[in-house]
Amino acid sequence: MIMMRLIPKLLRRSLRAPARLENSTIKARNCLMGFTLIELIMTIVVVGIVAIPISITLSKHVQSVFISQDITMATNLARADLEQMNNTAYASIVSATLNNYQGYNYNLTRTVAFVNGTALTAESTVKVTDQVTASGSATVLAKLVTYISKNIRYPF
Amino acid sequence: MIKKQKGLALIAAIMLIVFVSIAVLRVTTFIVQWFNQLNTDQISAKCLYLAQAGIHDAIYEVRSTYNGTTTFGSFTTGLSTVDVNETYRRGGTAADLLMVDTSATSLSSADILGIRLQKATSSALPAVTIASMNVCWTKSGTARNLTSIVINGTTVWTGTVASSACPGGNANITDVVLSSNFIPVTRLRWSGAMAGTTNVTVQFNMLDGSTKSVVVYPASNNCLFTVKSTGKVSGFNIYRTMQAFYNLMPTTYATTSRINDYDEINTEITSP
Repeated sequence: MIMMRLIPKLLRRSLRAPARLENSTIKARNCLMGFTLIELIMTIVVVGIVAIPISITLSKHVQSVFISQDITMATNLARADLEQMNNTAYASIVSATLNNYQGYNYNLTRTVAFVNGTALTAESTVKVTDQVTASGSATVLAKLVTYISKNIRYPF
Repeated sequence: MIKKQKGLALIAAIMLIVFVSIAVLRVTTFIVQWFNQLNTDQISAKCLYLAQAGIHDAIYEVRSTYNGTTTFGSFTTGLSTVDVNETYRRGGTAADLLMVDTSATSLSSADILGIRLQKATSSALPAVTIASMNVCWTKSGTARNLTSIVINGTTVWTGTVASSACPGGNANITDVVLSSNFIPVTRLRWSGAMAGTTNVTVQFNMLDGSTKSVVVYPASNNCLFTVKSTGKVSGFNIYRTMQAFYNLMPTTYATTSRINDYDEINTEITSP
């Protein structure tokens, strides 16, 4: 807003200056003209110095907004898968790589490993690790880990 | 007039820079806070599943150490690592870790027999010590007084508790320290035959101040204990704690034992 007012004002000053200067001394005219030019250059330099880091910062902010959307989405997809595993028959909890998980552009890798017992023992526990990446990227955006034991029964 | 105009553009530029800087600072602050919140949400989700890991592992340990002849099984308390920088810690009060088996209790004239007691953890801490018991009962016919309590063959209390209304009179017993092998409450004895009794409830008052109330008669296929587990990620103060009320159901252990209730609590397990 200030810039919008400032620019026409400066232009008007530049255009009016010769008319006013007819009644002034040459010294005063030179002084006014020189000062305005220096002033403008100084302004451009100062604004430029400040604007560069600000624009870089804002650019990073815009990037970070997209990254945060990815992280949020990835975390929620990992949660969804672990909840699904909590409600899956124990024998069916297995490792898997699921590309475009649930129709989203994210890949989910589920790793299942026994931490207690084996598939053949009466009691056992598996460690379930869910890692989510954006499709086409190797960067892990979210990782959730839990244990699920055999013969856990809930009242619901 | 000319002097007044001097420096106008510079002052305006400085003002502009100040305003823009303030705006950028505000946006930066907002975005930093937003990211902190996002990070908190992600760590919080991790902690919840770590707490679940602690519960599931505890139930595995109990079930895999159960033999029914000397122990109902037990789990370890304390800190365990699930993944790099990701841990859970299990613990609870003495009352949480007190198992009271009421699957084989019976009334024999003036005595209640067949209650069994055990500590649900094989770890030394927390200690599970019964300091006193409140006994109440519902009975028709002649009024009776509770006169003695014998645990594991040792008389831990004698006296007179006349009040049958819950929570019942307090019997300040000799402290009983429990281990991960069960022991019998040899008998609760009254002043005379307890025919007509429909209900006996015992409130166990533990040395750490926690209490647990259990209906010991009539017999029911129950042996309840509570597992509490806090999930944490190293370097963060965020935690999530889950508690599971597990019923061992001794007479049908293998097929019916289950979590009776499962919820989140706002208490961090910090010891042992």
